[in-house]
Amino acid sequence: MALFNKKTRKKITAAVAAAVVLFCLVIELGQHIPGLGIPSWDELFTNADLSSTSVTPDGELQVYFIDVGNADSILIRQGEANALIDAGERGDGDDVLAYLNTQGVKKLDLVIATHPHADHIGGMTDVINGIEIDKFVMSFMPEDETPTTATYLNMLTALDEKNVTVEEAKSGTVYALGTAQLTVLAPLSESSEANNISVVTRLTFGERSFLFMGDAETAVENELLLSGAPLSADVIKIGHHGSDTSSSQAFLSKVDADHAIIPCGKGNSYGHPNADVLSRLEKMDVAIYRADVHGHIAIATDGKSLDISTQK
Amino acid sequence: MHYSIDRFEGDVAVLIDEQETVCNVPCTQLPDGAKAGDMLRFEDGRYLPDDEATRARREQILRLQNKLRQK
Repeated sequence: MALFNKKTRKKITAAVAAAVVLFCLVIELGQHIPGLGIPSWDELFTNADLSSTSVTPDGELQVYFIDVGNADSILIRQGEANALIDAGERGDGDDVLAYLNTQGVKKLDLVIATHPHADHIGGMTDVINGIEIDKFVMSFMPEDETPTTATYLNMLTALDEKNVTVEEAKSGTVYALGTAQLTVLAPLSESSEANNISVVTRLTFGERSFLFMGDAETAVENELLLSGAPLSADVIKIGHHGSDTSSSQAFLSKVDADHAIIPCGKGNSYGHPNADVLSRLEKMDVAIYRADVHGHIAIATDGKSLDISTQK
Repeated sequence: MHYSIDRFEGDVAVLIDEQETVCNVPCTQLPDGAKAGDMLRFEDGRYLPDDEATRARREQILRLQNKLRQK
């Protein structure tokens, strides 16, 4: 004897189908209206451990925010893999190379130049000439807005002379760094502002994640919010040295990081970081680490716990 | 003396000279309509637009970019 008769079973099936459709509609609605707190499909799958990109972490992941003053340079190490995001200003290249040397890094599997401003690619020519690089990822301005600095010219010349493989950054690309994964989230569109072609990446290792914002401004943050890409992270490298061109409340809330890293220089000429951005972070109880106060910042994780140490 | 406008940080224009030295200059000192990516020359104590230098440098860089992207 069946638990329910045919009529009841039909009603239950219809009710379940309606619930599933309603659930899908709610999630889809959430993708198009940010700020409702509705998870994205990707977040649901990741939380249910159904994500196709999850890999069992092996060993430790180390992320080093190298102090290059009011500029960016980040070293990522997992297993045998080494990656570098940006190389500070001109004059920092040798310091970055020295730092890589101290860490025992003999080769860079991946280098990302987030965007062609001199405080991110200034040291790149020295790095390209000073260490073997497997792949160099960068983004490009529209042709008629291509930068004309000697810095950019020299970087491209070095890439050409050393025959480095150059790849254009594409959102959705996932680079494996040992058992960690570095996913490109942006650029999502062309821009006349180089900050907004910043290669934005999210690094995942076990249960831990990092978001590296380059100098992406709120226009890109809004695109990212609308894209439905997973943005949650334990650590956020704050965009544009803490300037208020970036780090909107809506974006910071979505990322919901416990720790924020601000690469800013003591007494820099640009007023970085901005007081409003700091205030937003403080109100969210985010632990702030700044290059001008803490020097080099090192984060290690086994995929579960995070261990943060600073130079000062 | 040639400079390229790297970027703007608020009211400050960040110029890079041909030795890659960084110079921060108030925006008010730049020619009208100056944009990031423009090349300037410094003459008689003023920054003046140099459209020809901008064009030539951009062409050189685009050739290099295309070469790198095709490898």
